[in-house]
Amino acid sequence: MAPHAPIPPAASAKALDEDSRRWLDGLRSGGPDGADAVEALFDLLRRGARREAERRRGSLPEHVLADLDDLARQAADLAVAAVLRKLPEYRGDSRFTTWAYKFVIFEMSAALRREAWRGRRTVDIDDDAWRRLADSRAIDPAAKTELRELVSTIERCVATELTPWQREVFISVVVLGVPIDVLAHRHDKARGAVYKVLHDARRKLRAFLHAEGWDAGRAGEPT
Amino acid sequence: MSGLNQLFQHLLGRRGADAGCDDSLEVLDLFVEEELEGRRAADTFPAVAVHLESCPDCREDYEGLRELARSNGSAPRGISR
Repeated sequence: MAPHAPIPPAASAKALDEDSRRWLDGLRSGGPDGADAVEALFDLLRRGARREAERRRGSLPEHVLADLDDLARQAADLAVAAVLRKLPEYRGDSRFTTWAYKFVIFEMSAALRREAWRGRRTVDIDDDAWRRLADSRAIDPAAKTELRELVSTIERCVATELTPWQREVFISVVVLGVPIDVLAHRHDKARGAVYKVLHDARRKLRAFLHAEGWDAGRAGEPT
Repeated sequence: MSGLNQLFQHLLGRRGADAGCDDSLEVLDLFVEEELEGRRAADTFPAVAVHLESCPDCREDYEGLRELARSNGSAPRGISR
């Protein structure tokens, strides 16, 4: 782990709970106390990363399960660095541990997704992929027919209205279930940038469906 | 929700202003704590709630953070006096 330098306190911090205060005081102090606090933070985040891996165990392939301890340590290491870098911005609006866990969740989930998809193609759509999309949600035959018509319309829109990059993102994420992080990593982009492409593709699809007479106007509203 | 509406939401995401990944992750800890304290986080952060129903990666991260926050890892005694 990188040597730990004392970190200046935030310009204005609101009242903290006792536990968060102890974390902050420890991490902001230099010398042995600071090193102990960083070590404790690393241990907390490593255990958090491991718990997150266990939560996702059912969706992880064998080759990833064998590396969970290493992945958790790497994620914790990156998360500790991020926490220390961002510590001056921490205002105590949430508990320190919740705030710190956010960084390790982000690192661990990105690592698990990358490892789970290592060596797999992101765009490898077969003839049945679109049909499966409809059939997975239909219970009765009439509904299945309607859903297949909808999916057929979407497929046409994807083929004719989306840009090649929008098409790749939409098919990978929505049809094939590829994590956005995996696409982002392979194209050297941030998750948010890839999501924006998906968002724009969905706007085109919504307009296309509307023009084709589908009532997607209320779809997706909170129930 | 009907199969048709489920499919619409899967394909098109949820309607409404969407905070996007970066802004959602920025406040994800606050969103989770609102919920754990029994308040409706979607009322406080509506654009984040829309995003979490539209972005599968952020949704998964949110669920993971919620589980960890529930476990409430406290500071080991003695790291600071």
